[in-house]
Amino acid sequence: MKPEATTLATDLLGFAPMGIVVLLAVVLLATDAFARTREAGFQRPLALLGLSVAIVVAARELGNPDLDRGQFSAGGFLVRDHLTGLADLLLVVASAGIIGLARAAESPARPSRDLGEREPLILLACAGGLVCVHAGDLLSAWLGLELLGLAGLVVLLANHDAASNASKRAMLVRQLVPALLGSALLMFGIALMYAAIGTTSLDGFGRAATRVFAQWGGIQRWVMLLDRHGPEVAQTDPAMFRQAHAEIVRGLAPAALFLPAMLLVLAGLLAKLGLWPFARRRELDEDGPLHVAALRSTVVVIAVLVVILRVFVGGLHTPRLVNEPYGWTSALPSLALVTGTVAVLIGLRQRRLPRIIASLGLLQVSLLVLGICMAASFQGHIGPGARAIAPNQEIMWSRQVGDEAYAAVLTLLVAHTLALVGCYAAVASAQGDHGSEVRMQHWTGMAARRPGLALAFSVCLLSLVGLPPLAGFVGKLALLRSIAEHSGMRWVLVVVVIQLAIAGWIALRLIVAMTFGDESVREPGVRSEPGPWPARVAAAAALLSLGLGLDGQRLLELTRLPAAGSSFAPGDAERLEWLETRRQAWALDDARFDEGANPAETETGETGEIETGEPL
Amino acid sequence: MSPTTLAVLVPLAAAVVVATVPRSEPGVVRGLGLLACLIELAVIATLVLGWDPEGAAVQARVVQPWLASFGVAWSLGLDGTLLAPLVLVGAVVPLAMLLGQRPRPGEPSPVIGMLVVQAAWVAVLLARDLVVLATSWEIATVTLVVLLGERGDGKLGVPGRTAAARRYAAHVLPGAAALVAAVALLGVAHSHASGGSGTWSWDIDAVAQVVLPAKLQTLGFVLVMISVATTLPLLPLQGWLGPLGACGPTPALALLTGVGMPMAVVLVQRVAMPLFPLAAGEWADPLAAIAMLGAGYAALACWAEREPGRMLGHAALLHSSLALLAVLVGTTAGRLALGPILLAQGVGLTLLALVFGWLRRRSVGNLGELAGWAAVAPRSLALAMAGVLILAGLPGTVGSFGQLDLAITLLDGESQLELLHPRTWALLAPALLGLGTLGLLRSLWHAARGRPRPVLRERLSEIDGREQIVGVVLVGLALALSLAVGSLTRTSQAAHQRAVDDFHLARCLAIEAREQPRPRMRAEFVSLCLDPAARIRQVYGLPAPEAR
Repeated sequence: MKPEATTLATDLLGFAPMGIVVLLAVVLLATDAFARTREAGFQRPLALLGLSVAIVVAARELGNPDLDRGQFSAGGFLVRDHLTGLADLLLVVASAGIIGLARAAESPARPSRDLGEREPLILLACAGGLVCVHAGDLLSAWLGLELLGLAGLVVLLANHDAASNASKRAMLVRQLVPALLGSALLMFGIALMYAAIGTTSLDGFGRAATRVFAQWGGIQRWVMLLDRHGPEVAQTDPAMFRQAHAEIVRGLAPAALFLPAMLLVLAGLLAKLGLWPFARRRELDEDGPLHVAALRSTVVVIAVLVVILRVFVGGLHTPRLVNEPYGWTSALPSLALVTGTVAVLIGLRQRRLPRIIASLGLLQVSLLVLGICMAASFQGHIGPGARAIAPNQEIMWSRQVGDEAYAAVLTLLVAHTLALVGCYAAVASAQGDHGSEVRMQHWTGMAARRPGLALAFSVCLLSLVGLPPLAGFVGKLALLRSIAEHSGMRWVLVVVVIQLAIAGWIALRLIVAMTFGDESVREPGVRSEPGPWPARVAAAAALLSLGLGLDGQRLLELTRLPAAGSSFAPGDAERLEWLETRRQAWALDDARFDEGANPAETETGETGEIETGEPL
Repeated sequence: MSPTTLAVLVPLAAAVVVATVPRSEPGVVRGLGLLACLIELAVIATLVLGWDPEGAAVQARVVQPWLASFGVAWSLGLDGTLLAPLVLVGAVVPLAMLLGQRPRPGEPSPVIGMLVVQAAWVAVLLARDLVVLATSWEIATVTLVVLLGERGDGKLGVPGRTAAARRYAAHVLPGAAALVAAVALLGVAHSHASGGSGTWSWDIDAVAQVVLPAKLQTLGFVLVMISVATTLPLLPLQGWLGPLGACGPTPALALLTGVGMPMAVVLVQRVAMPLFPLAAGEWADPLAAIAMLGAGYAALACWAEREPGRMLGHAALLHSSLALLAVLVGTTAGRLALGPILLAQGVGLTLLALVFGWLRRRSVGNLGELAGWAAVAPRSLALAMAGVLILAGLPGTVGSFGQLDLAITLLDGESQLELLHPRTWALLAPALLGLGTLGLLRSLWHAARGRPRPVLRERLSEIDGREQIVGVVLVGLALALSLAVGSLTRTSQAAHQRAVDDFHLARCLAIEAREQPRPRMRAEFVSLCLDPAARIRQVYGLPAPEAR
């Protein structure tokens, strides 16, 4: 069954959040150009109003049955499905939070001319992220990433004190290197990929990749022939020898181009993500304004991860492409673990709050990448043979746990975004010098000075390190469950456990200082009042983290639909079938729990009194 | 609302209420906290007294979906084997709350944290879902770390406290995370064993039906034991105990040593043994040896130590090691002995924390300086002596029953299936307990006797009235519990017997399935273990018990 052709109206409605954000950015740029009075954050109310509309529109798309099958639009340049629905919402929420927490850097004594382009630039970055999550082609993903990166850079430069002295300018130039390297690797990888498979479209990308290896497999008889009887064939039948040679080259060339292309694209994306050894981003997070750090830790992470999920987990999950010796997940778990370890070790020695938050955020990114490896590894499961479960259920199992690992990544991503925005907003709402200078000692005793703010910050920090009953815990549990499911990766549990424990230690150190520390040390510097917005954003993020933790089922329901059918390309009819199967299973699960009939009772013949109720 | 839910929610709700009281009213905060603890004690008493020995294995059960997609439910229920620890949590927390210096207006109150810890511990005891259990354990651990760091930073802080709390956190946080990882392993194993598609449950009873392969048993058991070894603590992970004893805030220390460390033993009983029976059975004897090493170290340290806080730490280590031995015995009698031992530990260590905390507040860092203590502050000395004797199991106090039962059980080595050298441990345990107790009494005796120096009278006024009352209540509690312990034992005997039988059946099935590559449900091959004890004896070459 072919998917129905889309109309302009459905396309416009489907991509409405992106349209709203772009339109809003243009309107704000115009407002900025013609505004006569410029007070600090004068663009913020309009930006937040527009984003609220985008949030409502994006939220309406969640669970929309029209997205079940997924579809390519704009000539295959863009795509829409449940994953884009969730990512849209996440991106606009994160952008609204960032706009809410952004502050001017001037002091009351020396007020600067406030720049009105901060909000439109953040919106443009958001638009870049939206293009990434909707990318139906590698080129659109690249364009989205470039728009996102450039907007992020300009918003950094637009902030007066970001390039105020030589060392900051040098740092700015230094951090450009990994960004440019990432872009170059990505572009080069995309070019090679086009050379290998003749397309950059993600429509049928997996099939094209499989064809490459089918071609490779097809020439094996020629390889064997020349390997065993090459000299004889060359002597007796030179024409056949030439033909064999040509066939081998023709069959091997696409694979020889495709494999490095795949790894280059991956390296480019990891560089954008800031995974080790591209973790120079934290220097920017240290010295940059808080809203830039928040932008890079949330919007960039969402955009890049969705691209990795779409291209690699969704398109390149065949066993040969995923597994060793040359599969893309071969070295990735080790890289993720090294990144996580480096992040927590950096966090241990840090006293600057933005750096601590950035290091905890980097740990989360490493866990997200680990989850991606799990999802791909399950989707690329070879089939019966591992003997861990009954062979007749193994294929179904691998597809299902692949979806669950995918959902774990999305769950963790939601929790990560909310917690990071909340943490940065809390730091931004402190008075005194600009955000990057705020150290732990300035926050000692904060629970006495501003108990609400300290509580919100604590909740976001604890969610970031995955403590119950917050949203981060639900993500952590989902991820640990996926790791435990993978018989070849269970050893990773030990490393992750240690990393999470150190992260918990870092967060607790801060919370203890806030709660029981002296109140004598205040933030240095003098700066204008932060206004109510950063504190509001922190409170909202804390409430959402708590709410989505206590009502964890809602969070899981939010992510399980985009994850279901992750192994099928958008528009694939099998995706609908699989989704239908999953929906039936979920309905059974829900019914079982609604009745309070936990399997335990039925299996053990429990006779105790059972009281049931609605989900918490 | 079910009393099980109420038992968890009362302290939590009280914590929220207390958090809204201004810091300028510390008396109100403490009063409200105490009131909440008394209500909680009443709820716990209702639960314990309402336990029907002939009823279901789990009573007053509540199941509310939480993460339905993961099969996680807010599932609580009362297990008859956990009556004594429940009483311990209910009785010790309110008394610990009254310890320490009088709260000053404007300072953050530890009462909120203590209420959260109490709720989390009660949830650990009542949880029928492993995720709820691990979650509660993590919340208790994290909150305790925060409580132990109270007033540790800054110019007005207590020197060394922050470092000690950090050291504690560095030990127990990996343990808490390891427990979550072990729980994840168990959930996945249950899913695999029950068909592998869509049947997720972390219900303890359901997971206990899964027989894990040997490698998975070892991995899971090690993860749980990381949690136990860091919290109990087991040698050589006791590094946090001394510094924390010397610098930690008194109420939090009382909570930690009186309830927190016994909770680690409960974790062995609730998770490590029933869910990883093969590994638990094979590791029981080495663990007993490590526990005895710890007890020996602590007993010797009790002789050498003069710093009161560190002495408290050593006493806690000594008694925790004995409690661990009781749980490793794996017989009904051994498990029955555990209840009184834990209760004695809770009461005795809280009493010692009270007196030693008072000494630290008077800047007494060395008992050797205290010649003439008996003349200056005889009541505090009496309370300290009482604490040591309660811990030692003075006849007539609650601990005496437990220790006697344990020694008899160990001496009856033939009934043992887990410990390979029960008689060795039977001789060592009382010897080390006696050695440690003598060490503590000797130090107190040396501090008590003689004529006090004039400076001492100025420095060491008698312990204040509030703490005296708490001390007397604790001594009374030790005596009262000794009267109630018989009834408690009788009530929970059937539940313990059921737990032991189930453990041996699980161990036997795990032996049969040790070469299996994947987890299986018990029901698939339960007929292989008609006589679990005989099979275990046969596999491990244990002598058969003589006919009597």
